Amino acid sequence: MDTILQIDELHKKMGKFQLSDLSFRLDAGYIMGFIGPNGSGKTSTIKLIMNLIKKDKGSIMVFGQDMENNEKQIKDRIGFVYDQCNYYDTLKIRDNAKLVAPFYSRWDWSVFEDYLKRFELDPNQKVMALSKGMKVKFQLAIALSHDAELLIMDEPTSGLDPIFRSELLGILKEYIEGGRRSVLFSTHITADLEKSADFITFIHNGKMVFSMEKDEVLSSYAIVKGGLDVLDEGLKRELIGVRKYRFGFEGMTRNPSYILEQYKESILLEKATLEEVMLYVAGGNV
Amino acid sequence: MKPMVRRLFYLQKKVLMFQVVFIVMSVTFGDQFLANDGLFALIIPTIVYMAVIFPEQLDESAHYGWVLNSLPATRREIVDAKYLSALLLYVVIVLCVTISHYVFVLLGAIQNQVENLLNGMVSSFLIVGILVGVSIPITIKMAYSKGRIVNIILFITIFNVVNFIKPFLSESISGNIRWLLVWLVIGLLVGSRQFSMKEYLKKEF
Repeated sequence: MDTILQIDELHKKMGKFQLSDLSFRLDAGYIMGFIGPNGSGKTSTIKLIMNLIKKDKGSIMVFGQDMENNEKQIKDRIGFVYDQCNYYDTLKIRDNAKLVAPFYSRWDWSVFEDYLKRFELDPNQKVMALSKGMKVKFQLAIALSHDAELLIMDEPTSGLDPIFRSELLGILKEYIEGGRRSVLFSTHITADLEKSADFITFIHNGKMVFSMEKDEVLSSYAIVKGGLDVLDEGLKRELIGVRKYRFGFEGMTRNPSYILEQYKESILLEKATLEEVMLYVAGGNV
Repeated sequence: MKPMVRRLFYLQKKVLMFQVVFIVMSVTFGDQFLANDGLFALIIPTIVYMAVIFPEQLDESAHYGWVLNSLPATRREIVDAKYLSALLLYVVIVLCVTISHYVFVLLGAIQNQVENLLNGMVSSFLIVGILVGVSIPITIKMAYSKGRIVNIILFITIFNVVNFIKPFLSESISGNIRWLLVWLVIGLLVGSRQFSMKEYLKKEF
């Protein structure tokens, strides 16, 4: 299987914030959710991948090539959608596309026009007149019109309504069909990823917590609930975060089978969602 | 490189369209000063300078650096395109203004024909070279909004100096001094490009 993106021991210091020891891999044909709370380093990692900022240490290989030495060839095969729409506000959709299209060797105007129709975007509309959702659609239309093999999206769904978010996930699934394309999708709205992602990479405070298959994440973590009388030192050690209430506790474990074996009768074990994983791991003991 | 220059030309065109009236009026109704000195020493550099600086302003207000540096182009190409498009623009404007000037002369709309075309072109090249050679690295180093004051001061200073030394520029430049000045400005442009490149390569977005 072709590896689309491989990051090894990536380091970057930016003032007081430090991104350290980041390593993950994305193979062709998959969607990777890149999650973490605000300020955890998601956008910085994406900027490093796109060479918008320079790494201090480590390696970033895209399509098996080093980004620094093969920037032009690699970027020809990447589509990008950023949190903010940084195209010219005062220009029309079509004029913005006209400025970008000549850079790509495989730009296809008919694909672009099809996406505009599908997203109900008027090519003669100025970017400043577009809503937040329409701006994401416009960026997506550009990103998908040059046969990119890697789509990088930084928080594309924040502030969008559930209908468009659902539509977007459908487009992404369609995009990776065929097995030669991949998506790196940064978000803190983890519900979107539960429906679409194959892999999850979680970073917190600039450090990687894990990078694994989504199903493995969901089976590795579980929510433990029980009475306060059960919460002994042994159980506390197994819990990532503990919330104590008047009549009981709630916490997360990375060892559900052990907990079930030890406390079978007195606890309740529930499947954790990605949001809960992020919340507990990022929050620690709340 | 070609798409990068084309992008700048496209944006510069927006400013040039606003300046068409200004160009036509200057060429048509310019007095003796405009015809002899101002046409090349003032009008052409003003047009080129405004057109060169306009995309910088647009790029900064849209944070277009993110898009630009995510496109299949190298940072070297981005910097080179700034200089190349400015020089190409200069050539295009000189041609347009000169041709329209002579068309108006032939039509009898202008009485004061430019007397020394070569001197005029050299004068305008020297001024455009200084403006471009100083303003591009300032804009890269400081960003457009922070460098704006410096650019305005530079613009006003250059034109006041030009006004002061205009007899020297258009009448008294002997062959050797003229070409020495041209080489000095080319040197300034080369140095400016080197500095801009160094600054842009380490820039983070």
